[in-house]
Amino acid sequence: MDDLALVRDLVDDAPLPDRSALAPARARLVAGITAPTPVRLVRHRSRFALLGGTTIGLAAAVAAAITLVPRNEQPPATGPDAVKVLTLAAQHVLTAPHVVPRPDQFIYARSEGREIWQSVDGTRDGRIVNGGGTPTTLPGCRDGRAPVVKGDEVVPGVTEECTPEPAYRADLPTTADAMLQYLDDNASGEPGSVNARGKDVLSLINEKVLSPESRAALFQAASRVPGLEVVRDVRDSTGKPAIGIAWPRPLGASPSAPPPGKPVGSGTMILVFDPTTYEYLGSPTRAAGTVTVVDEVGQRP
Amino acid sequence: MTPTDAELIARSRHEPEHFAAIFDRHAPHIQRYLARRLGREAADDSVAETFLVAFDKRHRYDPAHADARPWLYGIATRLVGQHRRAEVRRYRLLEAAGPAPDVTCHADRVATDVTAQAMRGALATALAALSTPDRDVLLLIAWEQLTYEEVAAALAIPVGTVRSRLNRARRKVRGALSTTEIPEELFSNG
Repeated sequence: MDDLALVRDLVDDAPLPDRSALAPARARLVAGITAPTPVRLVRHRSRFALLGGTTIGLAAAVAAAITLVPRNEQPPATGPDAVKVLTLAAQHVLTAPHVVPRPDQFIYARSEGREIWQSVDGTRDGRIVNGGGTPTTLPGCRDGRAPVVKGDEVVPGVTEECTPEPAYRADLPTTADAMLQYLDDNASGEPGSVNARGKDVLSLINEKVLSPESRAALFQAASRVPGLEVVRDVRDSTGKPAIGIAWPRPLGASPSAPPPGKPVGSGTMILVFDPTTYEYLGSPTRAAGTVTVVDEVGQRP
Repeated sequence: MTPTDAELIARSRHEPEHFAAIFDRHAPHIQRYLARRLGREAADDSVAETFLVAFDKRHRYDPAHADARPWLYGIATRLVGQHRRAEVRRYRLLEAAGPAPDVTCHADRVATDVTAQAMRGALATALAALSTPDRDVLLLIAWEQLTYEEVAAALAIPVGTVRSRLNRARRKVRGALSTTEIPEELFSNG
């Protein structure tokens, strides 16, 4: 058993509390929200970098909920259509324009009012600005140590253990086979977990800037995941018709069709592509972040 | 069509009573999470507080997120951070909790239980020893089964940071387990 499963087993699978157990808390909430004066709460300032309870842009580009597929139960093989869509997506990546950044540059992304600058090689301090709020430093990792950020500010003279997290991954494999090997070697879940593979692929697609060859290899590697399905009646986050690839649904999840505009099954992850060019567009609810290379933190393209 | 959380939260800006529906949808999961981290009693208080804080901040909710649960997990996690002592007490309890009494026990079963208990103790100690940010990430993933993206959204940190915190937490947990001393007689009993 792996360590995550052991941690999970530490807590019993207690049933969710029912309505009556939650009634006192609900009554407190209702009393609070219907009070004539605004609810006053004692706020404790967090000791750690918290950006006002909202999210960052690039990283949250696809916020699909993925639940765990029981191991040992493999979904049916992926049909040729899904393979074709992902192959065309890989071809599109190889023909689209691409700029190779220098290690000292930053990857800039903006989505829904949030802006983020991430160090190309992970050693320089980046920045997040949330909807015009106070900028927060994303500490770079130099010689295994990173500055500590408290609230929105760097604590002078204090560092913590770290591993550099380059925003541009020039080092990733460029063939489907090598990419599969890389995914196996760096799997976040147990060997053979389709669900963890989904998270890993998505995280590379959405959070990192890869060379076109690596990104194409990633789509090709994804096409080898068993049980992928093509979703034809999907729309992109702007409402335009698109073509989707649904990751295998957790077994036992409801197979019924979702209401219009809702993702297929709350637990299903869908990658959305342009139906003619096969450009990756994100998820049905989130647009893929557009990224640009800039020279300095704070610089906008 | 059922309104999304984002729609309900938007409505609650002018009609606060809509916020009660957010409670009805998510309070069971948030309460169970708080009970796992703080114990049942503290959870009953903290769950109301979580939703009051959320209500207070509803004008800052990002409407692009149809599902409010990660946001609520984030708020609950920050409240847990204010109850560190209660949380550590909770792990001490987990650490000390023996296996359920088993009237039909025989040597194998006893061995299994003692091993499991040694493991639980080591795990609980390891959890208590983690830094709060590392523990938050580990437990949101292992216990609440949030995705990396959801944890990033909940804690307002980049997904890369979620990964590095999770990796560090797992490394420490594995380290603690590998040094756990399993009583020797267990092996001679089998």
